[in-house]
Amino acid sequence: MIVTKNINFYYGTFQALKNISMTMEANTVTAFIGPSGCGKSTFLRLFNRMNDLIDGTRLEGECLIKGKDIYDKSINIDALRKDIGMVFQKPNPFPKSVFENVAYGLRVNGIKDKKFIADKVEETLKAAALFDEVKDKLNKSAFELSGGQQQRLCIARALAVEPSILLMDEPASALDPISTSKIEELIHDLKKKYTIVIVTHNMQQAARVSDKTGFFMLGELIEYNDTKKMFLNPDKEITQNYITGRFG
Amino acid sequence: MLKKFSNFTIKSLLIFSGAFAGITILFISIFLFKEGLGFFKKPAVEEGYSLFVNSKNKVEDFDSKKIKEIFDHEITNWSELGGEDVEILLFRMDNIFDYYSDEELGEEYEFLAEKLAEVIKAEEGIIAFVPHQYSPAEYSGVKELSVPNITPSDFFTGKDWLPTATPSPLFGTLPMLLGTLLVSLVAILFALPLGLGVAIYLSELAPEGIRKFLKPIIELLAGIPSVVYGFFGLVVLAPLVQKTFNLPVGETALTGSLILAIMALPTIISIAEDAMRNTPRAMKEASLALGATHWQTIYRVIIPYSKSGISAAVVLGIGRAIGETMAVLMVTGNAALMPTSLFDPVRTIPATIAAELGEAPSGGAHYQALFLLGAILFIITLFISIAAEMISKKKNYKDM
Amino acid sequence: MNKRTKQKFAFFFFRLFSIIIVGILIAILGFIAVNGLKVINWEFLSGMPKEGMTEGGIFPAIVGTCYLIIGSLIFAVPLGVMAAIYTVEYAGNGKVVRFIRMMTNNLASIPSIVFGLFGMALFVKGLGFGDSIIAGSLTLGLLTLPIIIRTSEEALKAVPESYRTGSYALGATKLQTIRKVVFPCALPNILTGIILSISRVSGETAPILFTVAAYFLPSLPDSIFSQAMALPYHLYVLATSGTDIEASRPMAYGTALVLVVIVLFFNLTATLLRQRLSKNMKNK
Repeated sequence: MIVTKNINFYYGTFQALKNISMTMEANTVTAFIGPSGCGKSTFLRLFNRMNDLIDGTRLEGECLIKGKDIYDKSINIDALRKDIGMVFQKPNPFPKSVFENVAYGLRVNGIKDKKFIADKVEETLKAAALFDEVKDKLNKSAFELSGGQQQRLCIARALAVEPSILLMDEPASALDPISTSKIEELIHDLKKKYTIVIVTHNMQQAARVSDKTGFFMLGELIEYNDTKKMFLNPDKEITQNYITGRFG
Repeated sequence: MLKKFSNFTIKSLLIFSGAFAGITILFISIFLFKEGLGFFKKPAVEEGYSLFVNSKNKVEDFDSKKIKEIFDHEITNWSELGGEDVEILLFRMDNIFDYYSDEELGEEYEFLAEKLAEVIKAEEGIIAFVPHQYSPAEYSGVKELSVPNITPSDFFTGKDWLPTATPSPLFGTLPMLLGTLLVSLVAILFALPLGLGVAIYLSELAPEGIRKFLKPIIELLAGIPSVVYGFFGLVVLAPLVQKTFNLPVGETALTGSLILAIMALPTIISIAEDAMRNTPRAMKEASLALGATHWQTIYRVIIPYSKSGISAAVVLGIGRAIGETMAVLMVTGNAALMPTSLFDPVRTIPATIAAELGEAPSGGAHYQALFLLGAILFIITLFISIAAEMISKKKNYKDM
Repeated sequence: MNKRTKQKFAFFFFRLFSIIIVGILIAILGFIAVNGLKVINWEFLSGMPKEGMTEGGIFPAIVGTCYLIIGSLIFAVPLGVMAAIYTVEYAGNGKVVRFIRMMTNNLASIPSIVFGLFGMALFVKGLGFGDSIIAGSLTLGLLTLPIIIRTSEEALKAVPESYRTGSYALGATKLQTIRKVVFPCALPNILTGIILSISRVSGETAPILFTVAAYFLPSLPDSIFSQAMALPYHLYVLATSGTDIEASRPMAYGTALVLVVIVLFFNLTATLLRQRLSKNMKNK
């Protein structure tokens, strides 16, 4: 599904990613772990070209999604981003109503049919396990929801445009444990339909939700393995040290 | 001991300075209103003069407008004012010589009052405009008209501004109030799309190099003195407007609005740009990640998010336009007439003050009327400034 | 229309608008420069107006504007800087400061003609100064007060808190700390505010109409209680009510150019100085 070949990435003169090649399978959950500043978020943001927004960045290597080089000049960025949903570290709903937040992606992609939009909003809110909690508040501001609800709203918002891949950048780091577990359950359900890549700080979370795990450090991919193997018996000693909390 | 004292002095001095802006505003309002509110105690005829009629005359109800119409020969018969069917005879001081010679009036005009009384008694239709010192009020057959004071409704809803007319000057400010609003609002209509466009360009599109170049340019535009804008408007813009629209004169409301639009641009641009730059990066990224184009992100997320900042920019732009004096004075033609079209000359409140205060006798009704206009202007801008502050502080997500 | 095309369309207009803004500035400045340069020579800058102001120079107007700049600064700078010291260093962050800040903002938004009216009522009539340099300077001083207060406040706030605590740790009093540490640090930034207010003072016309400005004076002012000519008012007179408007047009162009150069010189200096200083701050 996602294949990267010899990726090097620079912020100005600082090299943030060093020669990374890896493959992520369809309908799996892949977790990226590693200490702060190791490049895992930067790597994730390559897949929907979010790093394009930052001035003075440079990319070497290839990034193929469904076999197509997404950095090719012929690529339509809007269409690419529509196909690859993203959930951010902090819940970032728009200053609009709950309904409009979910409908946003449909509207910007040219859908005007009111009935279709209404159905789709309900469907995705259900898929995000949020509908029962917010069905009376659809026209209220999204800021009136709790932090955990806001984050699930952001997931629903991403799902509404029917992406095939879902990128999650530490989606539970700003949430309390109960909200976190709801998000994790949701990830588990979504796996059936979507390919999910999740960046996380929290090792237990990676162990709970992911099928495969990549361990990053100082811009390098140290180890990429099945999650079970990674947490029980990693190939490299440095991975073992990190996972057992000797540094972080 | 000495040190303590000097510390105390310095601290009091600092507190005083801190409070000075507030004190100044207080003083400004006190002085403007002290001078301005005296206006409503002024009689509707020129100060120092009275009006006299024949005592048989039954007409009671006078105001400045009617007096003016009488002296302008627009009302010529007392029946029009509800009196007898007698033709009105206007009498000013010069007319006394039609009746009496210099000798008859006495060397020091000591018999003038008496003779005036005789004339008034003899002429049934007369209305005489006489200075107090020669008042014939004590003689029989003469009636002094009681003229009411100028009322606020004369001032705010009167359509004629003729502050130097005799015997009854008119102080209707409606043409100026409307003129000010017209010129300012049209200016904002021009400036808003242009200013927002540039603000969007600066905050979202411009590369750092161009931004660094464009920002000082906009500050320079804000720095050009208003009298220079006025001069430019007068020698370049006014003839251009005249030629383009084939008008008799180029100094019109439109010319004023164009110049004001240019002058309001820097305010609008810099405040709107700041507001848009304050939109959280996360909002922008969320929108782009859903497949929205940059432009969709701008008008669906960034502009709604910075709505309060943009509104504040508009309000302050209007404030700047309403208060602007010199440029408007030089390019709008200054006719104190009710504005009917953008292509007519108009006059604004500040321009009126600037043009007339120098000639208004200190303490007179005209002088006080101008201070009252100043007080109105002061209140309007104070209100605008407070409104802008409240708007920009408000973050209301509900009604977006 | 597809959304990419719409974007292209919209962005085209925003670029166009930005070019228009630059165009407007170039048009105004270019027009004044081209016409003004023909007139400007040494005699124009140093001579008295002659022949009903259709010939000669604008020396008295330049001198008058200089007096007004100096006069208003003497009044506004100490007051403004002290006000800023009070709000930043003493008043904390409570209601008092918010009120003072609101008043400063309001003062900044009052139209200049209202300052003119007030100056006339208080300084010219109330205090009996008559039309004079001192009345004009005080009026202009009030006008620039918000600029000086605001820039000084920002300058003082930009001084790192550690400088203050460092000074206190050495046993210095609050006043000593402000005088020896905070103020010297903030001085360059305060200076930009002062330069900016010079630019403002030299360009304002409405406040001096009734407080100082003279249509024509045969000699230079000899005390702070005499009337003076000033560049912006002189331009207004030449443009609208000279003895022979057509004949004095070249004089008007020259005056406009001198005025614009003075105002924009100070304006640009302040802008560049501020840019330079904020860069230095970042490097620290």
